[in-house]
Amino acid sequence: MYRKINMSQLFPNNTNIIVMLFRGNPLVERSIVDVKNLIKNYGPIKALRGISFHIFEGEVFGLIGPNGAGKTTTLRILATLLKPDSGKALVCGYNVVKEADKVRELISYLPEEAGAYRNLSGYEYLLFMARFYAKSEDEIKNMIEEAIEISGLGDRIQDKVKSYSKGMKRRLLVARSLMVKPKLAILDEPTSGLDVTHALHVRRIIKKYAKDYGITVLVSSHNMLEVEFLCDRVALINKGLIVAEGTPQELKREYNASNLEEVFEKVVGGVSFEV
Amino acid sequence: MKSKFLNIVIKELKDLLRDPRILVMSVIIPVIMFIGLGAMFRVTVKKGIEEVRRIEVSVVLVDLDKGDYAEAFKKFIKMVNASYVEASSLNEAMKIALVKGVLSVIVIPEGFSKNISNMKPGVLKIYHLISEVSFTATGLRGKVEALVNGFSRTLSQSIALAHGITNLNFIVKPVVSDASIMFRGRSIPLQLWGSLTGSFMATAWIPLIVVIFAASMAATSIGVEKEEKTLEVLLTLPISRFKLALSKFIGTMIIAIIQSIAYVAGYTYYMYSIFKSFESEASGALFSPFQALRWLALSISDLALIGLAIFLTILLGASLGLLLGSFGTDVRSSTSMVQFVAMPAFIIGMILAYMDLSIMPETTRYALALLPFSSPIMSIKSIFINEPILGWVSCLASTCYTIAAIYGMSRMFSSERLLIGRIKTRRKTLLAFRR
Repeated sequence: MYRKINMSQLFPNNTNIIVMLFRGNPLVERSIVDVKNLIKNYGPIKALRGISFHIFEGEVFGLIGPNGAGKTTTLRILATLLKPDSGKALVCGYNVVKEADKVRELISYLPEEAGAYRNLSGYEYLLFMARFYAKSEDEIKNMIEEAIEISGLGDRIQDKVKSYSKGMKRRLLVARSLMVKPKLAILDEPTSGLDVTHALHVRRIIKKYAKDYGITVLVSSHNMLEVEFLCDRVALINKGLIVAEGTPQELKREYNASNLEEVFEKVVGGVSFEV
Repeated sequence: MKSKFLNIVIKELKDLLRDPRILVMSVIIPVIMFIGLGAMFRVTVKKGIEEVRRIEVSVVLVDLDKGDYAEAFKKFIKMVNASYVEASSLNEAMKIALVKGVLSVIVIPEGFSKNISNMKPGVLKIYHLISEVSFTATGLRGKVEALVNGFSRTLSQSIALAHGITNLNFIVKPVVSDASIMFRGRSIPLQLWGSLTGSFMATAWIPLIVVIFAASMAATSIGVEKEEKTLEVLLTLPISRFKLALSKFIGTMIIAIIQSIAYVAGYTYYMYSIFKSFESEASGALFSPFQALRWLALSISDLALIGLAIFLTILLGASLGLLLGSFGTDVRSSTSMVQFVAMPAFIIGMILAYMDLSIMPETTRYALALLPFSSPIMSIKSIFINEPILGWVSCLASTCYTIAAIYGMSRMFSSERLLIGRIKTRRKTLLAFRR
C-alpha cells in the first residue's frame, strides 16, 4: 500500500520531484495537473462551481458526466482556451492563465468537435502540426511516421482532408494529438464519431502511448465502457461539481455497482437535464 | 527548420489558395470577366469600325428645293462614292428607306439654295431611322453627318475662293490658344494635363479595391477557422498569440495582394482594350501611369510617399478585416463584417477624389488627411497641390490606425472572446458556446 502525496501542494512550482520506491511501488507521485476551486460562469450560467482534482504523471484520468456538466469547460481551461473566473489550474506547475505560453508547450488538445484544414492533405496537416513541436527535421519525420501508423490512414494520408470521412478525420486528429508526445494530452471525447473497430484501435493506442511514453492523459467521455477500459482514475462531474472520484474499481465498490454506468446513475440520480 | 511563424504563413497560403471558392470568386472571375469583357468590346468595336468603313453611305433624298446648291449636293454625294435614292416626299422617303434598309433620309427644304446665295445658312434636315442600338449604326449616322459637313466645307472653300481668300483655315480660326500647365517649373500642355491627372486619380482607386480584398480575405480566413472548427486547436499550439495573429495577417495579406494583382491586371487589360479599340479614332492622347510619371517628373520622395500610402492602406484593411472578422462565428458572419471597412473606405475615397483641397482651410485639409483610408488619394493630391506634408500626415494617421488595429487583433486573439464569439451588451450576454 502506498499513499499518493501531491507534492505540488507542498512545493507549488517544484517540478523535479524524486520518485521514491517502497516495496517496488512509488511512494510519492508527481502531479501533472492541479486544479483547485475552479469557478467559471458564462453570464448567468454557472458552468463550474468550484471543482478540484489532481492528475498524476503517466495517469489516464477520465472526466465523466452528463451533457452540460462542465467537462468541456474544464478541458478548455486546462488547454488555455478559457480563463476561470476564480480558482487555480496548474499544468506541471505552470499556471494556465499567467503562464499560458509555457503550458501550451506541454499540452496537446483534441476538442470534441474539431476539424482539420480541408484543403491540405492529411500529410501536410501533420507536417504543419509537427513543426510546432519538433526540434529537428528527423523528429518531424518520426512524428509523422508515427501519426500515419496511429491514424491507420495508409496511402490516404496524401489525400486532401476534405475527401476524408468523419471517422478518418477523427483518427487524423487523434494521431496529431498523440504524435507530439505531450506531457499532457487533453482529449475531449476522443472516439466520438468512430465505429467500434476504430474506437477500439484508438483506445488501445491512447493506453499504449500513456504507458510507453509516460504521457499523462485527461479524457472526457460519455462512453462508460471506454472510461473503464482507459482510465486509471475517474472523476464524476455533475452541474459544475465533482461528485465522486476514484479508480473505476473503487467507485464500483463504493456504490455497490457492477459497472461505471450504474455508479453514474446512482451518483447523478438518473437522467439529468440542464438548460 | 522553418520557424513556427513561417509555418503558419505557409499553411495560410496553401489553405486559402487551394480553396476553390476563394480562387474562383476572387481571382479567376475578375480576370476572366475583365479579359472577356475587354476582348468582347475589342472585337465588337473593331468589327463595327470595319463595317462602317466597308459600308457605303446610302441615303434617301427628298429634294424640295430643286435649286443649284441642291444639285451641287447631289453631285457631291456621288463624288465621295456615296449613293442616294430620290423620293418626292418625306413619307415616301421613309417607305423607301424601310424597304431598301437605308438608315438616313435627307430633306433639302425649299429655299435651301436661295438662302446660301443670300449668304444665309442652308439647312439640310436629316432623319435617322433606328434599326438597332449598335456601334455600327452610330458609326453610320456619323458618316452621314460627315457627308453634310464635307459638303459644307467644300462650299466654304469655293465661297472663300470667289472672294479671293486662299487660306480658309486662317479665316475660320484666326486666333488659337496654346495653353499649358506650369507644374513645379515645368510646362505641361493642357490637354496632356487632363489625361495625366485622370490616369493618376484612376490609379488612386486601385488601393481602395485592394483594401476591400485584403479585409474580406482576412475576415474569410478567420471565419473559415471558426466554421471548420480548426481554431480551438490552433489556439492551443505552442506559439504566442501575437505571432499567431501576425502570421495570419501576413498570410492573408499576401493572398490579398495576389488577388489585387489579378484584379488590377484584368482591369488594366479591359481599359487598354477599350482605348486600343478607339486608338485610330481618338484624337486625345492616352497615358499609362508610367508615362504620366515621366511627364510629371515626380521625385523619389513623391513616389515613396505614394507607395507608402498604398502599402499602409492595404495593411490597415487587412488588420481591420482580421479584427472585425474575429467577431463573426462563421465565414458568412465574418465576411459580412467587412462592410464596416468597405463602406467607409469607399465613401472617404469618393469624397476626397472630387473635393477641391486647395480651397479648403488648412485645418480642414489636415482633418481630412487624418481620416482612415485617405492616404492613397491624399498623397497624390498633396503632390499636385505641392503640399506633400499633407500626404505624410495622412500616412502617419494610417500607421496609427494600423497599429491600433493590430493591437486590438492581438488582444482579441488572447481573449476567450475569439473562441466563444461572445458579444456583450448592456442587458444581456449572447452566447455561442457549449459547456
